Amino acid sequence: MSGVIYDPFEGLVKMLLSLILVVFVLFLSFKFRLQLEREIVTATFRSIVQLMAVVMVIAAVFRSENLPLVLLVLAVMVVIAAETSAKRVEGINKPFIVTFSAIAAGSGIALLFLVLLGVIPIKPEFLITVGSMTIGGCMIICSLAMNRFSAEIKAHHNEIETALCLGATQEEAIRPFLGESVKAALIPSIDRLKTLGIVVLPGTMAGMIIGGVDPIWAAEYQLVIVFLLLGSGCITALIATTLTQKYLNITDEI
Amino acid sequence: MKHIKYSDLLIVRNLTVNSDGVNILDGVSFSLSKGECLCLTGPSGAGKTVLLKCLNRLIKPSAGEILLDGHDTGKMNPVEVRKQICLVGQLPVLFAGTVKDNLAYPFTFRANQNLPVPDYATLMENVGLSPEYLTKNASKLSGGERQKVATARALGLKPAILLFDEPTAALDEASKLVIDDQIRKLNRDYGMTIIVVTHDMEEARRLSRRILRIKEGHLEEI
Repeated sequence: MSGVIYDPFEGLVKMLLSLILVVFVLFLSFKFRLQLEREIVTATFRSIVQLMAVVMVIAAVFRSENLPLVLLVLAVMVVIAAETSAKRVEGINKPFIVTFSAIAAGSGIALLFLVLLGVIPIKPEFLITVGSMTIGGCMIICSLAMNRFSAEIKAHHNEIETALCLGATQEEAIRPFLGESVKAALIPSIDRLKTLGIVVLPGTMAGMIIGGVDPIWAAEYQLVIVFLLLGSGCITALIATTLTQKYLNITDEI
Repeated sequence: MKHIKYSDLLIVRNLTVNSDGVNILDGVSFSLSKGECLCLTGPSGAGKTVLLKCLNRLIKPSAGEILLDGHDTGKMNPVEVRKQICLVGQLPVLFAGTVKDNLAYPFTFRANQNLPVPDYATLMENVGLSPEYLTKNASKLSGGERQKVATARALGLKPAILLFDEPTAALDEASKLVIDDQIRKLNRDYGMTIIVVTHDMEEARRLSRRILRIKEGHLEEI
């Protein structure tokens, strides 16, 4: 790793200089009457405060080297991700139970697998950063899978009702639409794999290279991350749609 | 199918369905003998389809009971209720594939796997279609033919009662008469117990001597 020495003052100045771009957007918004000024100022201020606060907490956890504390931070992330995803879903009873189970199981199983294989070291800086990326990815896939599933069920209500009338259980009647939903939710992850490094240099790799890490090592680690995101996403989508079947009430609709 | 006559196969008592504080069905009671054909009429939104869906347990009623051959359907497995009281919708859904695929479709479900697979050619004849139709693509059928195939598919399960929800609403006059004739035949020649929902009084008179009208959730005999 080539040594990049961090100067806090220089870092602050650079961050403030990059804010010139935000001022430019504000100017454009004002000039073209986009009426986004207030929202942009709030969002910018919020992102600075939010990220700094999170960094302080994370830095404290890194220093503590306390595994239960790391797991607690990951658990809080899962709860927030599940809550966010649950708000996106319509027409399902107890959406939080579904999203929480799917995101926790998807990210947990995939992370644990790589930890047990020794791919991801049991160190706070690895577990929290890789864990947060995995949980974030699972959250998006969970929302996509459940939304697609509800939309499929709405669109094929007649087919489902016909199958029920012919002796299918609810599970049997909606099973054909489960695969479609999982497939649709995984398309972004598969597309990311296909275009990895060609369309964009992915975040982890870019960050590691900026941090002075050998690009080959950065690329290897990026691949670990995308495989992890695909694996955890697939588990999440499958669990989300399977549990959605249980909490859906497609009969009794008047 | 043999011609059989029994009595009180279905008893509906004080059936009430409430949705968002409104009683869609309000204390509906009636009974149906085995081998009978009953017509339910009433204006749109009166609760005719809701009543049919309650009978085959697609909707769980808020109050009241439905007895099928003396058994409370509320206490039965909904899948079993739906097999016994089979609903054929207004625009019947036929799945991709041939007519035969559609007739075989119910037997892919776990609950039907111990049922004897019927003779598909006989099923076609029961609904007035030639067995040659079995190899036809289901998506190429006319509205009337679709209705008949959907009926044959339901008959394959040997239900105790067949429910038709406005079976001719989407058909032209000529097809209407053919379907009505078929329903009459199923009832008269094969002893099938049938409930038909229609908003067409003429059709109701053609099909049955007993007509019930639903109005604002209440039932009255005509």
